[in-house]
Amino acid sequence: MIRLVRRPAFPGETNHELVWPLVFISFNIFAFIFFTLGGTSLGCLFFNFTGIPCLGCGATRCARELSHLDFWSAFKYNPGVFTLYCLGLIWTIYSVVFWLRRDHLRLRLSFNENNRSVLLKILFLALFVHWLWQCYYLRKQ
Amino acid sequence: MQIHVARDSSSLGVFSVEEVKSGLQSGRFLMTDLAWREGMSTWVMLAQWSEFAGILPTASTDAAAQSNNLSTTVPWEKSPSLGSYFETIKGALLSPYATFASGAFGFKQYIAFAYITALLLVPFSIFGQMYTSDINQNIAEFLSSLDSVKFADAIRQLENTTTAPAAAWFGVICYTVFYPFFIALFGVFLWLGLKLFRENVTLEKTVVALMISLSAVNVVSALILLTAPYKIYFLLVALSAIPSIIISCRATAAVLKVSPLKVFGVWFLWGLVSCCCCCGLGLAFGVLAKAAI
Repeated sequence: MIRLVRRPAFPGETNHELVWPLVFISFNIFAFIFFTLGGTSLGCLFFNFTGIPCLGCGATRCARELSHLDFWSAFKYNPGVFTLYCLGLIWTIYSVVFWLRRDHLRLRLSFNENNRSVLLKILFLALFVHWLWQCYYLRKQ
Repeated sequence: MQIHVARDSSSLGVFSVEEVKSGLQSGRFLMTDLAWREGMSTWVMLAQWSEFAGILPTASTDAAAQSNNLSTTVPWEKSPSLGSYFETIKGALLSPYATFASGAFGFKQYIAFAYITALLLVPFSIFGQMYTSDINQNIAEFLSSLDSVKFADAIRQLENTTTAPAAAWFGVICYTVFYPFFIALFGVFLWLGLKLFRENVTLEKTVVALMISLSAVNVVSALILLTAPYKIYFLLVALSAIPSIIISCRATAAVLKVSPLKVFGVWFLWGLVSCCCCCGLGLAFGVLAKAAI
């Protein structure tokens, strides 16, 4: 069964409560300053030449809309990146609570070998749905 | 109740009591492996679990325990200094398997290593920014001279894409300051990919492997940034692409003790997913081929 458990860290385990919030906060600071200073990207060459979006298409526009706090537009440009951003935000909030409480039990996803294949299937299905949306939305821009 | 098992700072997964018992008998698990289940306050070695007391450790237990006690072969880990930094880079380029035969490969230990690379790259990046800040315009002009309808959209976009100078300089500063963390981000992609290939490597070690291999490639290829004419720049990038990939994959694989083909496979998959890198390279080759004709 796939479920969340709270357990102590084993010796040498990656400190996910420290690493990911730092990555998330650094990404936010970088993106905010980059867009404020007028930074842009070249755009997707694959999309330009083939007319078919790749999974990363719209990611820069998504980040730009996020820096303007326009969440709906950000979602429409790249649902995958937007979802990752939301997960990063949730994990950062959880980590802040974790450090404030000085807890020693950490939240982890618990699954066995059989569940792993189920999770992979869900991931690929999500990526496919994400790509279908991109095909619909980015091509009509 | 399910048992979580871990070894050498890496999680082996979640198993039932029967699975752990048979794993201990077959040698899949070691008596020195740490285990935890709900209700316990800390991780305890399997040897101390009453359920597994009667099971005799296999011969592989001793071998694995011995392999954990090997001393480091990485010059940087022996004594971090500028000299050992270049020795490590040299090892990554020429003899990765001997250089990275054993080591701790802790992230904290390699932050300074990555910053040395970042600082070495600063003068090259600044030079690059000074002479190639309008590279997009140059490429647009070149593509226009080809008179091909295929490039019309790309030309329009290139002409409209003018990065503000402040943003370009900010990019150099950010790249230097956050260099280890940018690599860490790519390390996550590699780690996720290796998980798909069922390689049980830790995130920390994967990030360190990438820090070392990319440092080696970056230091060697830094001179490319000194080439102001964009045609020479793309030519050098194209020529160095394959050797860089080989060096990077070999060094990464040597640290992680996995096949270099798997490392390449992961990057290839990510390349397919994002497409941009492949297309950028393809475009560069196309432009160069056209220029040569």
